[in-house]
Amino acid sequence: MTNYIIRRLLQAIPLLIVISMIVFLLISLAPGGPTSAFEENPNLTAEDIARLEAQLGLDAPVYERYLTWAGKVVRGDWGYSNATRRPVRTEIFERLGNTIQLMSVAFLTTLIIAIPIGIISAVRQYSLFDHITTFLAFVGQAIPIFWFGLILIIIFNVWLNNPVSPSTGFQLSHLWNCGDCSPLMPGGGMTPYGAENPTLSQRIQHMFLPVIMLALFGAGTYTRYMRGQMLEVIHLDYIRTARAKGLNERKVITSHALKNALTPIITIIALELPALFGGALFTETIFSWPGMGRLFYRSAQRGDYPMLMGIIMINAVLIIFFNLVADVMYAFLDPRVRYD
Amino acid sequence: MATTTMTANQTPALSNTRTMRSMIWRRFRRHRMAVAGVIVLSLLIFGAVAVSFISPYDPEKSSMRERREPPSLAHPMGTDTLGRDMFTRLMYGGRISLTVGLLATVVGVTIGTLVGALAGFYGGMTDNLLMRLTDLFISLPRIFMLIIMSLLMRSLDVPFLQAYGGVGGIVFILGILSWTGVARLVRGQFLGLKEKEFVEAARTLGIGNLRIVFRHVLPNAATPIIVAATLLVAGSIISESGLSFLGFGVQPPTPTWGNMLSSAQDEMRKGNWWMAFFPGLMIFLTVISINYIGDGLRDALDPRKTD
Repeated sequence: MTNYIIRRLLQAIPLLIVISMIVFLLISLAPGGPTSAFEENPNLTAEDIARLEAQLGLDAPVYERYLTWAGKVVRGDWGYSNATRRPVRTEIFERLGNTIQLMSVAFLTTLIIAIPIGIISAVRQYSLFDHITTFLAFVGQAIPIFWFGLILIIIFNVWLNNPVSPSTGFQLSHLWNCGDCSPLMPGGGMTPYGAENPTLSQRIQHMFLPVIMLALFGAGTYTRYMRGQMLEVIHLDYIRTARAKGLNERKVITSHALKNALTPIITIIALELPALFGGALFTETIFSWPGMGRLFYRSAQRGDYPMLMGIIMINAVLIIFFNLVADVMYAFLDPRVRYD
Repeated sequence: MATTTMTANQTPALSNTRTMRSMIWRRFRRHRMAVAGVIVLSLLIFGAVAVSFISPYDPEKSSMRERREPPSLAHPMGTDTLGRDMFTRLMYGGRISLTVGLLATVVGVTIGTLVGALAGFYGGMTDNLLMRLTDLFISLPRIFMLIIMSLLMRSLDVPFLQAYGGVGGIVFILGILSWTGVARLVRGQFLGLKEKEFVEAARTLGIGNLRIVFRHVLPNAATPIIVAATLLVAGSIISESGLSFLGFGVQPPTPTWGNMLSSAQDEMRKGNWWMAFFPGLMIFLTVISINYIGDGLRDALDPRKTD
């Protein structure tokens, strides 16, 4: 097993190198770049810009620039943002925590919704509950996540109010009709604007809509997976044996079936985790969440290529890492799988 | 049915294909949601194709007196910030969104089928190399790559890529990043099929490798490819609209469902819900219809299922 992990890690290195080359090449072909801001400046001649490019090493051939970049990355220097002039690594790591915070809460919520629903759907296959949840899962998989976010904003931020009015106090009808109430949920940001020490409840409120957006979106897919796995297990012989020996149904499901149905789910979770970062790009953009996805969006708008390069590489590392985790988990949880 | 009244001396081959087709159709029809999907999708396609006959409005003509009007009889889906009829623009946008989804799928399925077929049929070094290439593409973070590639596409001075607000470029990048699933699928099919007797027979007859791959093996692998392609159309439509929503896809004034949704973002916060609701609804209806059709096709084409 250890040998297998080491071999896979070694295989990941050339893969990462090739990915970094491709992304670097694409980015070097794209327009803009650090000197594009000066092109409109009448005080600078073409020679000035060329001199600046030479100073920054931009006139060297692509492969030379790549080697310079790669050499620096290996030593922990990811370059500087074209927009803010701050180190790329600092900018990314300042925001990575916010992204992970949002995604972990959203992902836990997804599982808390999806796993029980998937189990019940499978146990009561073709029941009304199963039909309704199967339909809802299809709906969840077809809803464009960015549209869903906008719908949440109009319902919870624009239409519905906090039912407690500063002048007349709590009244249920304030929820939809109130002159001086605040919105029920904040429509963006991580904390109230300008708040120095936001309270826990303020933090939770700001997290509410983005979490719902990501969680309900993922819940459709995971409900389908869970239901499918459970159905596969539930018809196996050992389940019939467990029933035949007089075990009550609850115990058969929770301790016999569930354990084996969850094994492939864990693998799927590991494979799908990096895709969450893609979903976070939309969520963070819509809800102005100061995370890595929003940073990528802003950097793409400004043509801040060192930043784009850094974020893409982090995501590529995550994808490759979680692929490995998925394979290892699979072998670890299922004793029949052997790697050598 | 006509076949039942025919005499017994009809050729068996003809009756086989007929019953096969009618069997698939019968099984597909039983999947009620798939049939509903076909109906909804047909209506959307009809609307997109025939909009210039259905709607009295010009998609580009703004009207200062009719700005930001909520849905009414005259404007069933309201008007936008320039007073243009939303329904008309959505149908024109549908032309672009549906075409992009379809063409991107054609690109993706073509690449995927070629790569998968060659890898599965030839095996050995070819397989190894092509599968490493597939692994590489799978490890690329999709949405991030789409964004930087679209930045690149916009800067290239190629008329084909720039046409209709950059539709050509979007089709290209969506296709180039979506073939991996099909490639793995086709490879798996080919690995099993190439050992079959009919391939051996074709080879004995002296038929060349390429002809065996495309004329003999590929048709036998068609079923899963058709299902995967159907679902890929839905995926491509979502990707295009997501990219256009972020402002990196098809550029205004060419309307697509994604970029209409994008320009409605600020209006949404002012309470003008229809400007964002209807574009998203179009995407949603298209995607759920296609997904159900794919589901129905999978059931109908599954040879293990018999009536």
